[in-house]
Amino acid sequence: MSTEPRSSLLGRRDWLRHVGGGLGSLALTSLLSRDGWLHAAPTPAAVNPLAPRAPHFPAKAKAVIYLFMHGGPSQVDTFDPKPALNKADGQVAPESFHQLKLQFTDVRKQKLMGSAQTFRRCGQSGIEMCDSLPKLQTVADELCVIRSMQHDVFNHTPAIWMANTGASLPGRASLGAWLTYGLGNSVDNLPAFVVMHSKPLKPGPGVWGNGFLPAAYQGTTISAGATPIPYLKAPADLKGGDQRAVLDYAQTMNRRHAASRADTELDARIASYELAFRMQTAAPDAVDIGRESEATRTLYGKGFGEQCLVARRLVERGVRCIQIYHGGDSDDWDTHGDNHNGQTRRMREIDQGCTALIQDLRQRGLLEDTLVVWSGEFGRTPTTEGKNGRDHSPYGYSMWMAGGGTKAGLTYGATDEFGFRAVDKPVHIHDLNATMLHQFGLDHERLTWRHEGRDFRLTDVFGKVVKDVLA
Amino acid sequence: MTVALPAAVDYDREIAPLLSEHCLNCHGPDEKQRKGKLRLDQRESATHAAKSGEIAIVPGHPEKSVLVSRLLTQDADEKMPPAKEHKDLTAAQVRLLETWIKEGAPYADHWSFSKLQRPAPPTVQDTHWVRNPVDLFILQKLEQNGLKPVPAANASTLLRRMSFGTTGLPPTPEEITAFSNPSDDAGYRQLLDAKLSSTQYGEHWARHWMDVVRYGDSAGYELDYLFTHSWRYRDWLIRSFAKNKPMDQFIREQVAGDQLHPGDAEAADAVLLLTVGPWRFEGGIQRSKNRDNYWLTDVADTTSAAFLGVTMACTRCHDHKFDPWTQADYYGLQAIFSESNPKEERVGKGGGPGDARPSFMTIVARTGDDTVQILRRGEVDLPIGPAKPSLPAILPEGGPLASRQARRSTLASWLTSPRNPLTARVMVNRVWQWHFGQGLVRTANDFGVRGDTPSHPELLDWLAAELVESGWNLGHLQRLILDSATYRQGSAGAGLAAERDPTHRLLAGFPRQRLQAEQLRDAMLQASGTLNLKSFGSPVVPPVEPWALAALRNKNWSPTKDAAELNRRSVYLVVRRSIKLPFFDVFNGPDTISSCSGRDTTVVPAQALTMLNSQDTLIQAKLLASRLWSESKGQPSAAILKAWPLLFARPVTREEINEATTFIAAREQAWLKSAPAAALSWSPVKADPATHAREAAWIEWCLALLNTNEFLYVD
Repeated sequence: MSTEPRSSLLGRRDWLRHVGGGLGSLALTSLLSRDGWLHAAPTPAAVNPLAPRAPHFPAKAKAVIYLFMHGGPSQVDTFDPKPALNKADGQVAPESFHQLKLQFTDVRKQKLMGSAQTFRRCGQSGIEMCDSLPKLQTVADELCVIRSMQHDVFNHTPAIWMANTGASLPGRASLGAWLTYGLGNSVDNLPAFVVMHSKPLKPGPGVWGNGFLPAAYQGTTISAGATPIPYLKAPADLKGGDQRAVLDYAQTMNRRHAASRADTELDARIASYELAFRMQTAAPDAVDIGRESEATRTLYGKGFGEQCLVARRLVERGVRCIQIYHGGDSDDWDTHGDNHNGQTRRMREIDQGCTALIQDLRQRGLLEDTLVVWSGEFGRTPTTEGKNGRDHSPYGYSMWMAGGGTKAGLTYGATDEFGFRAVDKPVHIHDLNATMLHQFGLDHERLTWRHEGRDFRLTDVFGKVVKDVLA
Repeated sequence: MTVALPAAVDYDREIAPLLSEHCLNCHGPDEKQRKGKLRLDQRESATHAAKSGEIAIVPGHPEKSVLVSRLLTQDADEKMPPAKEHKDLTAAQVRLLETWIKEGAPYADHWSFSKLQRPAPPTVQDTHWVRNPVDLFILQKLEQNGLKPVPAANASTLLRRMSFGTTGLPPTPEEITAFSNPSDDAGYRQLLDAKLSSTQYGEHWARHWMDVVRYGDSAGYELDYLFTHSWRYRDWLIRSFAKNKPMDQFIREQVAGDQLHPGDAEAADAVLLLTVGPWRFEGGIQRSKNRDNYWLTDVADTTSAAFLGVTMACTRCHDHKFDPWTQADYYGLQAIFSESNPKEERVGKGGGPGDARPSFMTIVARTGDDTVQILRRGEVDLPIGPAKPSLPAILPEGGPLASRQARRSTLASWLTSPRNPLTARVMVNRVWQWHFGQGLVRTANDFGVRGDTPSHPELLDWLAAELVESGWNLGHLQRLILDSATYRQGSAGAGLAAERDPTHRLLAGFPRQRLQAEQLRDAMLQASGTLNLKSFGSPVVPPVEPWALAALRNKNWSPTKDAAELNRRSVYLVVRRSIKLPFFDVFNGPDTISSCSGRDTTVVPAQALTMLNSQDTLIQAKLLASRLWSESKGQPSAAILKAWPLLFARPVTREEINEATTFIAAREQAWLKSAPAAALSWSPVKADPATHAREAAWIEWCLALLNTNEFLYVD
């Protein structure tokens, strides 16, 4: 075997574990050289798993902001109006839908339930959207709505795993981790993959984890306030201390220790301390929305909007993947009862933030290479659960994207007349993932990691790039 | 005239991996994926004429072999592998295939499935270096590569390495004083004996094994309620290692202790192996149907990875693409376990949806139908037909079980039978990995065709044979390895070896390793003098920062109240599946979802932030400073002399004394000008400003020492 390009991404031992064969010549990281820690000729043991790496082909997107709607937005109440469903309200669903597997309900025993939302065609494109998203309606021409999303995982926990990692069982790597593995980190004072959430997620934090990939690729959670990243500030008891002096003293010992050992991992650890030191000032600034104008803060609004604003600040600073989870625990889009009011409430929570994000990115010239994605883990049934709720349904649901080289003003794919199943141009999560990687210049079939004897991909053995939704 | 013949191409080492990587996806064991009915992993099929009359491999005739012409053709429709697979072969690889075909295209069994035989140790030139047969195998390869072993490690390096390697703890200052001459063999062996018979050794090696068997103290998934039985299994592991239980017995008891020793409480704890994995409990109408399938999947995957080192998990959905496992093998293994099931008792009052009460599990005989269905794509709703309880068919004594009674006992004896080619090899490789950082086979859970080729196949077989013939005596194996000249070398460094063997596979020098998370935490506690060596019992729940719990749905997190308990060894800290303790997370703890074959060692800034800024590290720095202060009566010069052995197991140098003195003095001056926070002190009463400034400076100094690479790494 000759040069093995992906080895430059891995820690020495990770690399050993995952790549057989010979060694190629590898460049040491820009970080090491930048900090002047290179005291020996580069050796073939690559050490910085976050060193920037070229994509497979030119990229259209530099960053993704993934707005994840925890619990499952209802397609027939948001982006996929169904007049036939409204007409058939109260009737039993046709027999062809009786075999659908759902978590809590049996389709045969339920009634079709029309939507209480009103809809309109918006903008030049005429994209249909419900009136509970009045602000988003004004940027409809920026959106690419997919109405034919589908998979077959109908419980939250595995479906959230599915949406985030491409597999319904725990243990796989998240989209952000794959992107970081594929492209490294292009900034030297912030993480490449940042996560924001305001409530606990049903599957827990593993859904933004690295799975079998090296831990360096996992998402870093940031929260509003003084400690956006864990341990970013020295503990209060050390107030008045001189961290630089402590670090200089330790690094003097570290450099002497490394000098006689010729081990690039030791050099990488020395460099990682310097990166950590820089992050302490860069990260609080990046998340400080107090530095934004009053007008900008008003544009985004509170809560979810503030998270969107932080996301824009991170994109400006070169962060590649930002994942915002809206909702969590049982305070989310999961409207098993009182579907109409529940869905309306969630739409109101996100309408302003989503819209401001698109407008602001557009205005700053960032939307072209920033992909904004809005989706839940699945949609909801056109049938009832109980009196007026809707059960989960992964068989046909809606999502949208904006920017990042997607086709603006497009409505893609369709569900059947009631909105049970995707029937026209179905898009699986694997296809969506393949498409997102594609926009970053990554071929989803070539972005692989050998784990326990198999080359794993974000898209498993599936997925095709949905070229029709790309500009 | 003699012509030097090139060495024959080795099928197993050179050809099989190539075919596996480039061809077997479509021309391998998986019948459903197979294209053109051609199978290249079996000689008979590969050399047999197809309907068209074409023959993929004509032994002795690469020019007649369609395999070769299809690799070389420029015709995009004919070209193999198809362009869309991105699996093109290099010219050198094609030439290798041609040579192999020219030599008659000999096939061979995959090395790890072939019979285990003890090879004769090789002869070497530098016999003086050799301490035991292990060294002969290592030295032979070094000499073949024109390399020399690194001179023996000095006493402190060796002692620190051996101490962390056996007990997971640094050596004590007394041990450092007692062992000062690296050639003091009697002294070294005495220390080794003491370490290997200690409970601390049991604790450290139990932790290794817990990685392999995806140990957890909670169910995981949505509810993640606590398990109140897991720790009994963990304690059984610790006791087994500490009393040097024979490894065959160790394996048998975990698989079938309850059947082999009915009524024996200890054996019942061993078999809890089958219950400490993730337990999928979710709301909804589909739940009961799937749970049993999840459990059988978990135990089949875990046991095949842990004991056989094979990735049978792939065969849950389809015949294996590269290894000779079939779905019948996989579901046959599940059908062995299906004679039993875990019985779960929830502890305390409660129930209903979202029930987060703790549970206690045991393994009981299944009542009712124990049939396991072979599933299409692994989906419960797509059964293909019933599976016969069976052992992997291609291995010796494999195939369907003769009796449906005590199936796990049959599996246990088969695993530990001297005819099983995998178990002993897999076990010695793990032991080697846990000492040297990488195994002789670097894929400890994959001894299959896609796994790593052993660096020293003869040594692996020799060690495996030695283990079996010694009565599966792990202590004997440990002494062989730890007393070898190979292990006792100085650490790997620069020079010719770094150039020729940068990944240290040939072991010219001991490969440096970062402490794993548990070792690092335990070492800090031991250095600060606060480590509580109490052993065994239910897990300790440490307090965790609110941000770490924020993403956790089931927040039933009740920290242990007794402060002394919080200073116990890391192996006793609770392992919650839905949240890793932040310290263990950042330092590459295992994921607890499936068998972990080895820890990663990443280098990320989050580790630096944790060590520099967490309250936990600051507390350890403070305790260390306080300990040094009281042992040196507040004299920096005396404290510096004491600190180095505690942290680095070696004496301090003159240069280091000067640096430390300067640092402490400068920081003390600074603190005199701006008073430290009241908490930056260990005095129970408020100290005078001068003393307070000194204490603050000492704490910063100790914090710096804990952040050094020398503390984090073992040479």
